[in-house]
Amino acid sequence: MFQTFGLNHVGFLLQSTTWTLLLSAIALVGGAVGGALIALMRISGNRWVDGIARVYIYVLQGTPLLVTLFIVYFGIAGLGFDLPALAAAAIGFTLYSGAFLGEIWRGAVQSVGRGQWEGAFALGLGWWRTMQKIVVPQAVRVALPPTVGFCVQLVKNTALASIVGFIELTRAGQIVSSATFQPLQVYLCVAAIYFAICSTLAYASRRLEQRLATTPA
Amino acid sequence: MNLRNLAMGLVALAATVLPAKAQTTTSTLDAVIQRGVINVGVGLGTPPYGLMDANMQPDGYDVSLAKLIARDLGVKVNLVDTTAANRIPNLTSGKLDIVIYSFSITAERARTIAFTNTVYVDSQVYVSASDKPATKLDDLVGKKTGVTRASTNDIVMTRKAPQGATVQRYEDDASTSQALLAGQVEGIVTSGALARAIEQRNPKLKVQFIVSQAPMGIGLRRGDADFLHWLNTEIFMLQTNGEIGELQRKWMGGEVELPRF
Repeated sequence: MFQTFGLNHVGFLLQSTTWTLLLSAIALVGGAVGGALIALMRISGNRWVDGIARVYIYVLQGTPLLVTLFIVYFGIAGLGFDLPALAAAAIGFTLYSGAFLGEIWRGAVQSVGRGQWEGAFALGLGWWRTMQKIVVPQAVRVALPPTVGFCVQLVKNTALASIVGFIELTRAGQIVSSATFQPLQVYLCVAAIYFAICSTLAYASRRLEQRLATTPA
Repeated sequence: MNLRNLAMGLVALAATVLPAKAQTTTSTLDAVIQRGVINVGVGLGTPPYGLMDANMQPDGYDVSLAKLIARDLGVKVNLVDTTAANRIPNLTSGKLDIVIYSFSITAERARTIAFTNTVYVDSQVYVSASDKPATKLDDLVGKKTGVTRASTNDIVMTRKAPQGATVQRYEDDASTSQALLAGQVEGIVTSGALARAIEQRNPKLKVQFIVSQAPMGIGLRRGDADFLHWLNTEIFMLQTNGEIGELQRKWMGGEVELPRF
């Protein structure tokens, strides 16, 4: 009944890696939009807008991603809307990464000294121009390492999408491991694929950091 | 691990709290025929019930049964890989039409979903090294026994393990048997079907004794008498024409009697 772990299984693992990559991409793009919005809300200075963002972050950061995904997928179906698995995963991951990226970026923006703002205003720049030309370029350098760190976590967290029926890399590993009964070999292979993805991200981030560092402030 | 337990708890909670959808006027039977597709939940990591074959296509006892059911409904089959903990929410939320997933019939589960007549009766057996005999649960005192988390084997051992016996839980069947081979546990409790395959592969291992028996059925939403009756009719016909027996010989190594209620 059992198969021997071979190239066909590696092919299956690689094929399921496309789901891992796609889910990561969705989470990053959705999270970047959501995170930018949340960061802006947090620094808006308006008590109510800031409050809403705070509650959002508090709830999402305090809930396991597995539970968020479960509630989005099964909860919305319970209300009578049939949400496809991909849409549920996209919403769940966007909500989650938006909360984390929002806080990372808020911190980065606030790390830029008040003097920079005051100087820019004194030169007659408006709020948006100051943000765009003075603050964000400096904040990006601060935000880059934690952002990439979060992205690496996110890639690995896409494993949770198996709860809504995706056969992504980790789930594929479980399936192959059950069919071959060679868990050690299978999970080593799975780990190698994750490592390839995450170390590529880390490498790109290091290159980007070096490039930004040589740019005069 | 704590997060996982919390999540599983919420899964169980939601399974009971979420309103059962689609208990509308039309039976799932008509809905499926009209749609031309039946959505079936299976587990592709639970050989010999559900697995990926060498060509990476779904196969196994449950999967083959799902295909026979789709054939007799005259519809296409959409196999959805699910997890043990999600079987019930997938039904109550209307995501799936039926679940065929080595689904042990229990009175507790039957409060939330409906079960058809049995499609297989599996036993939970104790497997250990053939030179270390054990004949009953009391022999497991002072030893570590591996089970797969949230499986029928886990439920049985959690209830029946004698004081002083340690139950060690693993994430999937492959890890559980790996733990036995690596010597992390003295023995494991697993399904009879799987144990036979493990025995064949490792002559040093032996099925020592039967811990319990579990009849398995097909899960569907409650309150759909039409569909339940059609499925029971189908199971009866597949049994009468010998097709279920054929699947049992192919995947389980022999035929078992299927009790009816």
